[in-house]
Amino acid sequence: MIDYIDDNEIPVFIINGFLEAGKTSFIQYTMGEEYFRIDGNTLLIVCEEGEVSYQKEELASAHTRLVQIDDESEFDPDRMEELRKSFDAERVIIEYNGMWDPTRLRLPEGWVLYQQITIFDGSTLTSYLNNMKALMGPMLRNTELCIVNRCDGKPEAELLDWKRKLRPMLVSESAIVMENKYGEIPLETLPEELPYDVNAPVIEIKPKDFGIWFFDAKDNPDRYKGKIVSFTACIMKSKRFAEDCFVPGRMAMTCCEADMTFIGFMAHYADLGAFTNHAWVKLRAKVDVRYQKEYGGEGPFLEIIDMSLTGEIKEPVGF
Amino acid sequence: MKTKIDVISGFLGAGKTTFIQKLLKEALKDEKVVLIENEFGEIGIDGGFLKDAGIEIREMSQGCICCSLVGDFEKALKEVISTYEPERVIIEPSGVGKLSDVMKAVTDASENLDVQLNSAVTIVDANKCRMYMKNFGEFFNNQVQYAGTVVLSRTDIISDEEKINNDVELIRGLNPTAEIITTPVSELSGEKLLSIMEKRDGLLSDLIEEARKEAAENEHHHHHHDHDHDHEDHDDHEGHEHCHHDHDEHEHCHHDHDEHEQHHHEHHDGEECCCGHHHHHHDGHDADEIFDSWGKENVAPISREKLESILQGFSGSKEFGEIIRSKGMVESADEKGAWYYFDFVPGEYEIRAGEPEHTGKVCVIGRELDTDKLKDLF
Repeated sequence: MIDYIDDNEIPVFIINGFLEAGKTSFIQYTMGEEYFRIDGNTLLIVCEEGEVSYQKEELASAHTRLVQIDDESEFDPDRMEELRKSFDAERVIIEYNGMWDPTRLRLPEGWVLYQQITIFDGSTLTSYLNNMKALMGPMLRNTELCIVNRCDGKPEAELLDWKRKLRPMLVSESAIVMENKYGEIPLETLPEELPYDVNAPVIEIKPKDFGIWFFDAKDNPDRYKGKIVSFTACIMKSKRFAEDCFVPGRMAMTCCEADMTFIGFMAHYADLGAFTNHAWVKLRAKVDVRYQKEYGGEGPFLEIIDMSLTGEIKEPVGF
Repeated sequence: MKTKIDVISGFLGAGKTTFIQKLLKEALKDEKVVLIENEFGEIGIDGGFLKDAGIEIREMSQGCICCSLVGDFEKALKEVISTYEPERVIIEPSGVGKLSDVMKAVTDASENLDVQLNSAVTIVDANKCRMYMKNFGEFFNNQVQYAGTVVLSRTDIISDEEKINNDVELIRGLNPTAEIITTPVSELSGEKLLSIMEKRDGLLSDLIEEARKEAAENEHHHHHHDHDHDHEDHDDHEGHEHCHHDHDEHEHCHHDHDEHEQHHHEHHDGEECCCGHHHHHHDGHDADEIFDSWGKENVAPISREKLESILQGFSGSKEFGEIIRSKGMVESADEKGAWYYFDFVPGEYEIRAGEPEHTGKVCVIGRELDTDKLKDLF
């Protein structure tokens, strides 16, 4: 990841997560890794003071200078750039404070966010997901890699539940990694139980399972390729879509009521003109997997078999 | 009867559920209580036993902090009150919410509903107090600042007394008047906890007041002063005037609203502590009546032997000043869970066994007290 450093930009790595998630240990470990070494200096901005502290010798051997910031207001772009210059740092690592609003973080000019990693502690994640999603949403929005450590002893069902809840808060390309003391837990091999039968002649997706279907189909389009699905959704038309194309979807609450997104896949129906925009329909569709410019890649595409007007589903999709 | 509302706040994992369970099981069995949870804890409240006991549990929204509490809350509260007609509602707000917001929501709701804010408690994990205060900033500090009672949880698994002392100091820095419970909650009865929350319990300030009154009476008998003041009144005044107040040292002085009102103490600002504000008001009183007082909470466990030697020392010398009264409740270092209650007047003292208190506390009344030396004693 550091092969492409442009001489004019300062690469920034942000490590975020709640207090005691293991951010410091992760950074210390990474700094010691060969692939993360650079010849120049690194500025390490630490916005939190947890239980683990940095080892002076290790910092020195990685040409890294630590700056402690105790208050969100101290994170001033000009001041940060001055600090960087004074140490002649070519790279910046920020250990962020999980209680600070990451959307308010302003980087100095010339600093470029290369990677944002968010770390959660598996031993408290269930409780955090139940209560702190409102903080986790903004934290995960620009996260490329979400690591859940200390998963030891957690049942597979719980890991899958985490995945199901974290996935919607992340952007498509980002990865979720779960770890126990032996290392990474292969998530693909976990026996995922879907609330519907993927082998049924028509896969009936209940309103409450819409979110699960959406993210499962997004992650595993081939599982649904050629199959027929049936669900209720709202028609979303756009002039920018190809002729007779639309998105049947629903509003989803990825983290909380203040943060709703419309989710759905692109669909085609020859008789679309007979339906008004925003109408609620019950539909049957055959799933195809194809390139869509809206997806920026391949993804599920719905060829509508039939659809008819139905009542609105008031509740947003939950996870 | 107005419905009492108790707010139990604290960060995730602080021990709110355990605390509420204890209250419900031990102190509120015979009351009609509704619990409103805005958080989903790791330990679920046992619905079964609560139902049997006539306690209802309501969960609010998604435990989400960004959703406006107020609108939702007043609606939920109204519904709860008309449906169940409870005597008491316990609210467990989201762990990352501000306590002052919840308190305000309750106060606002009380304009339209027959409810009153009864208590505000914040549970703080003693192991994490310093770290949370340092890193969490506003919401955590707000929870400590606005609490009437702060419960330090998990003090039973901390062997380092100094850590608990430091926590108390940090909490005092933000909230000089809250009662701080340092005794492990498991050692206190639910009734005791409730009486502390509701401020019906013997606070350190009450203890000082009591000791001061007793000292004054004693003095009165001994000296037969002939001044024409009404004694009872003045004793109170003196008390306020001379107590040494120093938050850093956990000293605590008394402020009792009602008494002040009786005395028409126009300078008294209801929220402030009394100390040192009124000297000019009381010039001309008989100097014999003027006592110093010193008090300390979160006193570490002490052995009977050491306590005896301290009390003997009070009589034998003027090393600490002229001590005319001392009272206290301290945990025994000899036997786990045992407590010593003591009373001291010059020449005699009594040590007896007593029920566990929410925190070890000691007060000393006298003249020219050497508070630094006293501090070293306990």
